[in-house]
Amino acid sequence: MKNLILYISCLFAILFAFSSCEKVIEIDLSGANEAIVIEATMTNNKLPFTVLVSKTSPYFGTKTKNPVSGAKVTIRAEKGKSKYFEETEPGIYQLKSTHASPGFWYVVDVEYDGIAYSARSFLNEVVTIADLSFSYFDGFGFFDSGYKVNTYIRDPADKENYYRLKYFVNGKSMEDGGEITLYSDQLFNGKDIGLGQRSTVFQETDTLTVELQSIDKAAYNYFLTLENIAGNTMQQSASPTNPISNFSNGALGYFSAYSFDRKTVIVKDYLKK
Amino acid sequence: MGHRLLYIFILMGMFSGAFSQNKYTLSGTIADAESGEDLAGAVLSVQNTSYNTICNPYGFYSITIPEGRFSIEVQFVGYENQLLEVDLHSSQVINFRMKSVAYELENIEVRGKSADHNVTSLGMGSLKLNPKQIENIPVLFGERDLIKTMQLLPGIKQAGEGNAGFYVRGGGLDQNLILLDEAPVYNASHLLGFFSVFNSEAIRDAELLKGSIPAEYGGRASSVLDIRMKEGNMKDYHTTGNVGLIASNLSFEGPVKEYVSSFMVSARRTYADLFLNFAPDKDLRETQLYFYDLNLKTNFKLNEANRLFISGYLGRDKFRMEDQFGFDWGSKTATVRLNHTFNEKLFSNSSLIFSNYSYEIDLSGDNDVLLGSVIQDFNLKQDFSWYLNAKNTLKFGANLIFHKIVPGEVKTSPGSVYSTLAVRPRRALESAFYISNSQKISDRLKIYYGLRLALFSNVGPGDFYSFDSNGDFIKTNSYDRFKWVKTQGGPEPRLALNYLIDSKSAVKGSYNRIYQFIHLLSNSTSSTPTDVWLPSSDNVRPQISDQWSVGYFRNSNRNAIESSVELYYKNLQNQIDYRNGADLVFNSTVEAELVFGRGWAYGAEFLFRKNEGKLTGWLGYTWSRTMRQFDEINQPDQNSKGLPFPARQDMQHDISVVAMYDLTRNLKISATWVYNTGNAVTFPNGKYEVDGRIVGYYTQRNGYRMPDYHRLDLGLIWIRKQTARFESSWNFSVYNAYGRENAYFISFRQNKENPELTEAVQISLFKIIPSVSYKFKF
Repeated sequence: MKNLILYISCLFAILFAFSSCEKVIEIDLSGANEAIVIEATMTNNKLPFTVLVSKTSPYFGTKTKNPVSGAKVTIRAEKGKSKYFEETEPGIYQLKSTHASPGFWYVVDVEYDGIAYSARSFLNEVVTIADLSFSYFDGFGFFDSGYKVNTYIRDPADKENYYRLKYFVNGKSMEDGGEITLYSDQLFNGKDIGLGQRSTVFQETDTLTVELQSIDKAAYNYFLTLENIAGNTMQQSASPTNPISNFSNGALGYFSAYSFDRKTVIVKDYLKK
Repeated sequence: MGHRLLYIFILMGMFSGAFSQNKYTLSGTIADAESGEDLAGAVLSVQNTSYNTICNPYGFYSITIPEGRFSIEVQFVGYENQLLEVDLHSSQVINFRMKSVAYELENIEVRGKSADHNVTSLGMGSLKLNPKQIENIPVLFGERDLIKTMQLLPGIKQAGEGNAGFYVRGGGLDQNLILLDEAPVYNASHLLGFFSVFNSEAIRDAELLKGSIPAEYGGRASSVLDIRMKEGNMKDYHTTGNVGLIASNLSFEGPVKEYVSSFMVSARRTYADLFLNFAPDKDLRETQLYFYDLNLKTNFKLNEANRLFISGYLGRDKFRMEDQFGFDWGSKTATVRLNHTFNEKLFSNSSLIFSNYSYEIDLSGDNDVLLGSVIQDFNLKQDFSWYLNAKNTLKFGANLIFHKIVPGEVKTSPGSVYSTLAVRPRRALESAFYISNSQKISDRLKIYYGLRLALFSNVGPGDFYSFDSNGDFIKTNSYDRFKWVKTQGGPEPRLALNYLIDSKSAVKGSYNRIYQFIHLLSNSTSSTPTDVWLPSSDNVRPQISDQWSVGYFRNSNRNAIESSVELYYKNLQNQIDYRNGADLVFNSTVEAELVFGRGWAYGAEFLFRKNEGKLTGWLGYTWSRTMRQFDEINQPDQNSKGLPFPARQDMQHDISVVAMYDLTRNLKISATWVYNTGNAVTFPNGKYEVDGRIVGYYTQRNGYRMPDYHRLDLGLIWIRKQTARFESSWNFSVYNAYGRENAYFISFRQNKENPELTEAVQISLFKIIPSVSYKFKF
């Protein structure tokens, strides 16, 4: 579906190439009340668990970061005991020694200013990257030429799976243009499949790390709706809204418990294989 | 109770006056003397009386008047008035043949219908245009377009820069019933909306009904755009062509048998992709991007009482990037109609109609994965017009539409790693029965009352779904073939009245109720080919609109100047929006993603129009508001009901000025200027960081405005040659002549140099677009 939107964008781009005109303008955006933003992530194979707590700031303000200090942050397995996070820097809360097991629901509770926010997320089993392959993309219009990577997986047949793919080149995250690479197994449940990527391309000398996250449905919906407002602007939603948060009490943000697998290769080496 | 009252009312109306003096009926057809084509909408009036009638869309008229000597006048736009003395002592059939004034351009008086039709007719909120009237109006890319000209009239708003989509009196884009020779057209735009599917060379006339909508129409909540194709010259062969920068068209018409049968065929194709050949990039050069249209029509006079029409339309957009991606979409329609005249008072039209809209996306460029969707109708329609007596014209009929909607289908080639996926087709039967009467109560007062019963039944085979109150899926209910699932609908009263204050001015009023059973789901700012039509069902109730309107109409300077003020209030029930993150395409349980609310719109429309002289044109102003309210949208906090918010098309002020001036016999200039308040739009009220990116924080639906929109277009027509044998002309136009950078959309992004900062970016299209086209006819 996302490909479709990309191509429609491309169609727009071709149409407008001859006449469109872009400029930065001034708009008066009235400020809204500050809202709390919580971004909580945990995984079974990497520490620490981190929860970022902040508030929204005026849109045209000079600072984006508006950290919230002094919140009480805990995590627990749904039926387990709560563990407290430590605020390591303003607005950054971490839990450095713990462990999580796949197959359980986890709950994050954040209390600030007398209001409690809570979210839960299901930690899935790791789905491993079976293989990678590269194909050369000749470039198209304003899309650059280079190698595109296909990530092969064996999708578990017994349940619904949701994936997010992240790409790092020489250690740097490559999610340009606000793209978030997401897949649901609706179309390929239980099959061996290559998951393609979108507009980013890689060069022969790049050291590429592919991270395959196995996420839950709530996280998938969050990122899907996040991309609607942060993604490619050519085909903008008619009425943008805040992404679907799994936190209670109107907090923005999300809690995602996920497992991941990574594979790091040098593109050139892989081409010979 | 209400229905019974109406029934009595109808009975009373029909037979009042039945005992007065002897009356006879005059009936027949009105057609072009040269070409033999019908002149639908021609007005026949009996001089020095208040009797008049309008030719129906098939060129048939019938009028009942008292015994005696009369002079009958027939008028039609672009034709010489015809006067005939009639001594009426028995019913008579008189066929009028009107002479075109096309070759006497010096003093052409372009009149819409009878000059005082504006005041005397029952209809209000109705606009009729034919291609001749809009020939001079400058347009984008020089491609004349009826819909874009309609958008220059009060109450009709364009759905974005250069777009052929339109909103009528606060209604949605899907609330316009667009008919091409009676066949509904589900997607009336090409190339993402920059062109309408109506090739103006193939169109005879178009009428937009935005206020009083007669009972023979139904199915869309806000308006009817009734477009008729040309029928073809009954006597001579003609070829007409237009060569433009973006598109060309060629039409051919003529008799199959003189004055018995004729045909018309018209084809159009764009060649926008030819420009891509100049692109520096090889892939761009190999990209296809075009559309084509084909219109066909033929008719046969079987005998004096029967006439058969067959017409069809085929149009398709194609977009293909070499080896990567293919996307094509388009409509097909076909209509077979039989006109039958039972006697001088009873006229019948029977139609069999087919309509289909589909799209197909080839995701890989090699047919490995194809996505598609189809909506298809078979439609049977029977209409009767009964010119009962001098005071009453009765219309009644029935309409059965069988809909089949395939919301989404994924087809894969054998061996593909992707699974096929089909959202099961939905089938439904839409039926309607109507009866109406136009009644003349006195010389000053005319009323119209009608009732339409509109029903919609979902029928098997198909899957229907149950959801709980949170929209979570409970179970699937499968129905077998011919099983009735659910029937919804109800009666739709239609009322209108016209009170003549004096010969120059009138007040009119109307009330309509209309049910709409199929709905368009779209989540982008412009209409896209992948928009999904969703039928009503056990989870989706029909939209219902109620509209009240009143108006004051006045003509002056011997009908050369028409002016009117109309006020309306429209209430809309069961409006549809969707939950955040709704996936509208390829989702079998899309109904769970929907939320239902209400809408209301009100406004005042002012129109001042000059129809005669060297300078013609109009000045229109609309003040209006359009609101929506949904419990689940625009909530001030989690636990409250959503607050009302302005709909996207809520543009308070809307001005259009259209002026055409004949400089000399061969040189005509024209200008249009439009201004409107920017449409309502959602902007962020704050920002925050999440997932390593800065995103906007949204608190209000449509809480902001786009910048005001205004634009000037200029046009020039230079007639090179104009004889009976050959005509040719050059048409020059400039779109957006003073280069206003109107905002097409505004997006928000991080500043490239300093990602901490965010900025608003305005994208504008079409800054000064000149175009030229050449037209010939022989």
